[in-house]
Amino acid sequence: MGKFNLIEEPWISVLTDEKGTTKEVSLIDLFQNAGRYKDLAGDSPTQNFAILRLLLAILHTVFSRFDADGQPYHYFEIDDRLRQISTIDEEDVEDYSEDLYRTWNEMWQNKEFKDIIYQYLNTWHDRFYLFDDKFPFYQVTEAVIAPDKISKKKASSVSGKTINRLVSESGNKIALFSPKHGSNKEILTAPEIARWLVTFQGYSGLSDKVIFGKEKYRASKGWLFDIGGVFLKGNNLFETLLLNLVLVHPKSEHIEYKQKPCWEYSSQEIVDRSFSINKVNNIAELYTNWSRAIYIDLETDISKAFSFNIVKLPDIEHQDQFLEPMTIWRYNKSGENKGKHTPRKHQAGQSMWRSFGLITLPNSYEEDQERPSIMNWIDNISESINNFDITIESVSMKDDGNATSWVPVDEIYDSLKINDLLITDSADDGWLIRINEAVDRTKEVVGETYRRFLVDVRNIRKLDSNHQFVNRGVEDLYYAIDQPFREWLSSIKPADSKREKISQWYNSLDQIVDDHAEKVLENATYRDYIGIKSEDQKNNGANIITAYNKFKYFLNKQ
Amino acid sequence: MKEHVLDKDNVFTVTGRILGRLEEIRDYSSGKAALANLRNSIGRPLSETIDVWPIVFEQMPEHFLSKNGKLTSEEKAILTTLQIYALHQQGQSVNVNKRSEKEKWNNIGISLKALRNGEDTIAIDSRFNTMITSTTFEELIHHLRQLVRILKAKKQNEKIVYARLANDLYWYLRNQEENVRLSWAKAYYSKLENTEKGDVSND
Repeated sequence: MGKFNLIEEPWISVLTDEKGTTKEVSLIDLFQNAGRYKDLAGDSPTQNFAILRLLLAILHTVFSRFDADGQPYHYFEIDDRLRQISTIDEEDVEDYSEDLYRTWNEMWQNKEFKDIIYQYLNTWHDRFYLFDDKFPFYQVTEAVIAPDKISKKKASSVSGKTINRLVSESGNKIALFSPKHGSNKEILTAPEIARWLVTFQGYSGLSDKVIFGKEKYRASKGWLFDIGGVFLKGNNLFETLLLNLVLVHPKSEHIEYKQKPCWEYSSQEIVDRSFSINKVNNIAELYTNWSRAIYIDLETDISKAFSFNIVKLPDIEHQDQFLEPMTIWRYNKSGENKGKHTPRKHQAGQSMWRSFGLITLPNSYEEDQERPSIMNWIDNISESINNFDITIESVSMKDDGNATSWVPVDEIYDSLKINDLLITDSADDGWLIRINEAVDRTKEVVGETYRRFLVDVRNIRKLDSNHQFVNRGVEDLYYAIDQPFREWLSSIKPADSKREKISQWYNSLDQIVDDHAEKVLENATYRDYIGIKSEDQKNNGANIITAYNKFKYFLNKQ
Repeated sequence: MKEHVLDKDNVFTVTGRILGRLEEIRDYSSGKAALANLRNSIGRPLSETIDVWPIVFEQMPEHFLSKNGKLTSEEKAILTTLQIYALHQQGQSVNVNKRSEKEKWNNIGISLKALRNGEDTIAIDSRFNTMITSTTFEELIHHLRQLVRILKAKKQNEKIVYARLANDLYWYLRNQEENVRLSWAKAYYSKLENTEKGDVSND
């Protein structure tokens, strides 16, 4: 009795040409024409990221079991639903890895997916209904959230305007400038429901109250909500999918595990699994992880205000969760995660290149540095994709900073174009290290030298130390160097002279920074010239010119 | 900013020429008289200071000269500079105008920087700050004269590039006071210029 099958019905929005035309396509259509579509073009970058991971989960599942031609690998058994039923022998893991590389390479050469993927989807056709009484996609059945299993009489209800993160409005506060208005805020089409459902499982917040059972547990706010997403983009959707298809996991311990995408299990199994002590160990399971047991009433009339019910599921282990290839990491020196790595979200208002080191540098470069495995993957496939301009994309959901509600308030999205040979050149005198030095020095010039100048000016003006003058000035400067830095970065060709290229950047950096300082000088008032008397007699009092000269001195010294 | 047409006379070159002429005749009575006349003209309307006319206007190109009786910016800048020069030169045996090719663009801030040492620095700084924050040309000149007097009293060997001063005053009068203020202040408070690099780390 299923309705709206995601394999056949169009629901994923894709970009079909350079002019920005979009259309909604089905899963089958998407895989068949991935090479012709430019990119995912959903309602928001976070949504695209969530959908991308769903698509990757399908590919991971299929191509961990079958090679590019659709032949099953002989290391384990496969049942009639194309499931891997036995595990791989430990001594076969190496050969298996080789086979996986071969599969990946063949697909990259073929530029299209072979039939096996459609065969697989057809086999699991019954699990891809958006509305279904037995196996609703990304949702649970009514029985799973029966009143006796949850902490309250009824699961929390979430209305369409909250689910739709374009509106993201709760029942208590009205979003003033929302793209929808009035009662149509609550109405979602079936494709919209499907897209936002996948997104919601990745980014949900903590404002809902109902949990399973009576005993408290650490509830998930959505795995994607907690990570600083990093992924790669090719020239079309096929390339994007392949580049991110980490078929041979760079952390070898994850290679031997079976892929367990959520649709191969019943909703009860998934809820039970999320409460079990076993760590997530395979990518398909991680990519299709749920933050909530979501129930959509089958009687729902989608022409009316839409809502679904949710119950909190436990959080995934964050510490050293190196299964996740698409995030940057923070090494914790204190707190409950001391000595462990946890995913690090992107900072709002900070360009991605400022995290350049975190994203690209190999693990050994700095102590305790953990690179996103997706970058290691690029190292591994660099020979196949040789000299390819890739774009590194970063995406995070910004939260409201309130530990009890954790409401998504904004998206952080950025991209960086760079030649893959630069990324993989991690030798001691290689490009990676040199570029990273350039980034570090840039951060030092802006965040320290220039900041100190602004602090001096702030003191001369006797502004409060909380005054935004300094921070705003520093942000302005970052904003000003953003574009030039990107252009410089994407202009680098592997064969360029490193010294020339780097000093070219330093020259323009100094120029921009100095221009900004000059601008502060130009806006100086008489009081700035007269300055302040310092208590320290040696220092002879400071004024804006002494501050500037000091700044110039440090700028030139660097 | 590029000094406009190069082959044409500008405030910098004209002032340099006049100063050269004054130096040549300095040891003669005519030269002494000229300096005395310049000093005497300070603070008086031009119509009452007929004595300085030959010195000043003899060398001026046609287009600097006023057509309506009011002083042009060029005239005002050059005359003011000459007056300060006359003050500075009084009773000195060596020439106080610096003419070296290498330092010809040093502004007066660098010369005044010589005063910034010892215990007087704070007092000198505040005088300097008062000067550069002047709101009118007259106020600026008033403070400038005082500073030059102090310079003369304390630093006998310190010279000023007077042609540059005239040039700066000219642009000050042409509504570029912000730039003049900045460049003087930068030079005055600078640490690197005129000192060996090694000295910097000691302070």
